[in-house]
Formats: sequence, structure tokens, C-alpha cells
Amino acid sequence: MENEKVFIDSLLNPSTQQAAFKTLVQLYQKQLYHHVRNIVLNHDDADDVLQNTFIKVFRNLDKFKGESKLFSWIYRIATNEALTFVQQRAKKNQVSSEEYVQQKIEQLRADVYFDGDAIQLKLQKAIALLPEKQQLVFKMRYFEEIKYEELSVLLTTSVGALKASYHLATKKIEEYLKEN
Amino acid sequence: MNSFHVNTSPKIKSGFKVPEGYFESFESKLFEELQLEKEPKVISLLSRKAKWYWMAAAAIIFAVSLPIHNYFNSASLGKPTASELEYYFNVHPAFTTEDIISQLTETEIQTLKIDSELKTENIENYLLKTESIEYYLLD
Repeated sequence: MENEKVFIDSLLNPSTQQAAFKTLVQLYQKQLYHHVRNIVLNHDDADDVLQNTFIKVFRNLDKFKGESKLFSWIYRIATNEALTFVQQRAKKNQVSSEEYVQQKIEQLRADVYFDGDAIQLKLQKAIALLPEKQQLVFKMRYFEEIKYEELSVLLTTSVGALKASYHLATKKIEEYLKEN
Repeated sequence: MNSFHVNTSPKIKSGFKVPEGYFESFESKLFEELQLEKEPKVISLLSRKAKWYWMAAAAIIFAVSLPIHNYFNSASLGKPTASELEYYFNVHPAFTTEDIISQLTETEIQTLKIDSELKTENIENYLLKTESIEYYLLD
């Protein structure tokens, strides 16, 4: 975003805050929605998490120190909200996060807001079998096409570690798709 | 699926669909939510839960106050009896008869005089009833 500092000032100024925040929502809602949806899988859950993300952003605007880009900061909030959502639901169901995601994948076939074919469903199943961090790396790289350098900032992980994680993930997915 | 390669095969999309008009209405829903956040929460004193709390508080206050009330009522804080007073003055000789009399009014002294006067008739009646009257007569 051009002139991010000016935009941040307008977000912090009470007289311009509402209009600036509307702009923020319009700019980032779609990208954030798809990111969150990739993690929580279900539309209604994604809607809840997205709402909570923006509310959290709004409440904590004054705490944003400008050490990273505004969008990176918002993206991290969205990621944490989505992961926490999954963890809480998993805990409520007395299963691990991975097991919870696998259960959600099984429900996708009947989900009105999933129109994927057999291959797409199989890919989701393959991803759900990965460890949580690997799932996140794979989804953000493969579906959202985020570059490693940006991924490194968002996940506070080195580029090398991310590349290794993605490589392992792809191997497992290819193996699963081959066998199934 | 025999030859799928993540990095080289055509991209497989996630398959997730977004409800129609979702993004158009998201903003207004979000701002409604933020508006509610700004308003202070009003806790109704008459809510069902609050009613139970008030009833419980009232019951506790009543249960505690009853014994306290009874305690203070039954406590002997009223006027001492005549025998209690007599005993007190016997053990506290610092009070002389003059000290006591100085506290009485003229009317109270006159009443005492009348009450303390022994009528001859009453003395005779008493002596006649006493078995050891000869003892007193001979002495």
C-alpha cells in the first residue's frame, strides 16, 4: 500500500478512523477470508474468525508499532485467530487439532459451500494428514501463492525452514494421491 | 492418481465456495458488531439471574438478622431487680445510705416511709403465727 504511514495515521485519528477502517476492510477482507477458510474449512467458521480478526485489529490499532507492514500484522492476527479457533474446537471435541481438521474434511462432501470434485477432496484429505505447521505452510504457499520471503515474515520462520517444510509436505501429498 | 506433482502439475484449487453477496454484506455486519462493542453493557437488575441473586441475598440477611435481633432482645439490658441492687450496694460499701437517699426525690422518700411503717396490727398477726413466740417473749 502506498504511503502506509499516512493510512495508519488516518486509522488512529478518531475523526478519520471509521472511513479508514472501512477502506482497510474492503482492501483485505477477501484475501483474509480465503486464508482463514483454508485453515478452518467451514464457511460459517471462517465468517466468525474473520469478524473476530477485524474486531481485534480495530481494538489494537494503537498497539501497531509499524515494525512490519500493516497487512503482515493483520495477516498474523488472522492466522492466530484461525489456529486458535481450530485448537479450541478440537479441545471441545476432545481430539487433536489434526484429528479435528480430518473430521472437518470428511464433512466437506456434504458442505453446501464446497463444490470441489474428487481430486480436490482428495487433496484436502492429504493436506489434513500433515502436521499442523506443515499444513499451514503448504496451504499458504500452494493455494495462496505467498512468496517464501513474505511467508518468512508472516510465520516468523526462516526461508530455509519453510522450503524444507514445503518440500516434505509435497512429498507426503504426492505419495497419498498416488496411493489413493 | 498416478503422476500428480505438486510443483509441475496443473494447480488444484481448494474447492471452497463463498456464499453470494457475502463480501458485500460483511462490512455492514462487522460495523454493527463494532457499534455494539462501543455501547456500554447494561446489566438488568431484573434479569432472571439477578432476581435469584437478590432473593438469595435477602434470605441470607433475614437468616442472620433474626438471631441477632433475638439476642439483643433477650439480653438483660433492662433495669436491674431490687435484689440485684441490694446485692450490688452490699458489695460496694463505698455507697452510703446518705448517697442513696441523695438520689431519691421527696415523693419517693415519703412513699418509702409509708411502705416501711409496720402497723401494730400486722406485727401482732405475725407474732401469733410464729411458733417460737415464747422464745421471743422470755428473752
